[in-house]
Amino acid sequence: MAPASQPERAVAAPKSNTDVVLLDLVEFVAEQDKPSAREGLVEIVRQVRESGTDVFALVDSELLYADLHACVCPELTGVVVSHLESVAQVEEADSLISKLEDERGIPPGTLEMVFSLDTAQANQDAFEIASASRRITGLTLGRAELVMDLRPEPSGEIHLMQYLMQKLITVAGAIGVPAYGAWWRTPDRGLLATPENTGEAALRGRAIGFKGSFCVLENQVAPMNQGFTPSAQEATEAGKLLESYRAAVSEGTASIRQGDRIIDSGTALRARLLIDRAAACEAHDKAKVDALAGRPVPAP
Amino acid sequence: MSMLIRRSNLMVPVTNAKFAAGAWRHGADAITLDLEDGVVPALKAGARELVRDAVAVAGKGAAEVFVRVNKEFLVADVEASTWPGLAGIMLPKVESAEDVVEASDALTSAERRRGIEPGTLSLILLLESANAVFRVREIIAASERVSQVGLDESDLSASLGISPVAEYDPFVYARGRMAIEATAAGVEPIGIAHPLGTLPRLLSGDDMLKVATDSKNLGFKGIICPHTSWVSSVNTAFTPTESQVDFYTQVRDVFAQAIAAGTAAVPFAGRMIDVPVDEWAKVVIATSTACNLRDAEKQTAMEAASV
Repeated sequence: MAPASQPERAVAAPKSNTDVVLLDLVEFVAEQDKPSAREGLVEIVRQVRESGTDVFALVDSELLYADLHACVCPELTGVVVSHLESVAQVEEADSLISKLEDERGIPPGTLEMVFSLDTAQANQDAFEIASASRRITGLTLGRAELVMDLRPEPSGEIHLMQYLMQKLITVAGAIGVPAYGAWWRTPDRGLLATPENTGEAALRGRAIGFKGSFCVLENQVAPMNQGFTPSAQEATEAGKLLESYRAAVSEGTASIRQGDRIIDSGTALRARLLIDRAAACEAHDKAKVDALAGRPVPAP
Repeated sequence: MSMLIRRSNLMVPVTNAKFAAGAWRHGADAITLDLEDGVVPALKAGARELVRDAVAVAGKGAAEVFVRVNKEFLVADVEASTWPGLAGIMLPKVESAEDVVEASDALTSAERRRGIEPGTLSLILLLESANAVFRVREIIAASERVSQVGLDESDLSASLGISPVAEYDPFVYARGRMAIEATAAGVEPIGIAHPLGTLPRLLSGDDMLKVATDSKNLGFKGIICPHTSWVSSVNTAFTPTESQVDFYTQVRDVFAQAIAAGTAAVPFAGRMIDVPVDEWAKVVIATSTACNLRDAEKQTAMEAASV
């Protein structure tokens, strides 16, 4: 995330090796700075895009008209819509984006939407909201613990967040899109999260089904990427497991033991998916390096 | 209506002749002969030929016998499985109410052809996707045949792209949602506490008893056992202990005396005994009785079969 009111930071953001630059019009931009931030936004989107990174804008569901008019351009990948509460708001955003796509020479239906369900109402109606547009490519809880005023336990765990995170992951899975977030513990998160704690939040997040999360500082990007990427050791172990399982299957057995572990088809499937994901992360990281160096990048 | 006692359900691949022949000796309340993930693709067609005899053998110790069918070969697998002695089928990868209706219709048709009393074959459903977890209410309600529902956590984690680790339980919500919806619908939720659902392994008797007890305390009524070593601990965990039965028998007496004395809340052994506690006491005592009857029935059958 880079504040739209700080163009230098936004344009420099791809150098952090982030997968996406999210130009923020909501969280870190003071109310009085929003009009000027919107004015230069399309130019920033274009400059960031030149580095090959996907570019999203974080827009406010209550300021949709102004925010979307400020950011929609052919170089924009999509928008993260914060504070979504209703199907009607989704339909409004979808229709406004369609109109802007038409006016600004963007192929129809290509701009993505990620929904930030950070209110109680949004989480109550998560499935209906998430099903209301075909543009949806992800779900996140945004800053739910602040919006919903959820207080931490002495351990630092925000008790209700585990329920909300897992419900979000289930809804996202049911819709067929990724859920974004990390399993933070207070006081971590945002400006306070050290690289080490960011990496741990990412690892916990990956273990329950998140696919990536948001960083507000450049030094959070590397541990976030690392936490959400299967390690070389994991991939090696998955490869060995898959090899043993395939050997067993070729001899007519679909369940084997490794020490006291029981390896079945589900375990083998997970191992294959992990290997695929590790390879996809590696290819994506290489493409980012090539793009930053100005080398041609093959289409995904 | 008698209480369903299906604490342990031992899963064996029907193609493993040794396992299928010996499964009845382990005291499981149910045995599921697997035609699905436990059978390699090359052996699937031949596996169906084995089911009829395997059902008869698996039932020798009075276990209920189920067959886990392949969703994509539903009709052929049901046809191969529906023989006298079958208690029902386990339907994996359920995604919708329509899947359940289709399986129920296949059972109705098979019951008619094989002279089995209509409506007696039961369904155990396995949910393996986020979509299924989200739609659990309509899925459970789709057929009167549904007796139990569980998560296949291994496949569910694959479906969500999760590489599970023991420290962080990814299915607190999914398990809770399923347990509440199933219980509300009068269907038994089955499953096991993290991490054994996604990372199954062999444990010592004491450790297995602890995990099985944790599972019972999550609201589950039974566990699918991928290995014979789980069965005994699972049966023990889901059976009220003697001391629990003694305590709740006293609770019932104390509460009856309190009612006779004109009060519906009375202290006893450091606890407040009122209507919900008395109601729970009835459940514990009835469960104990039903478990004991079930165990005696299995014991008698196993002794007779061993002769």
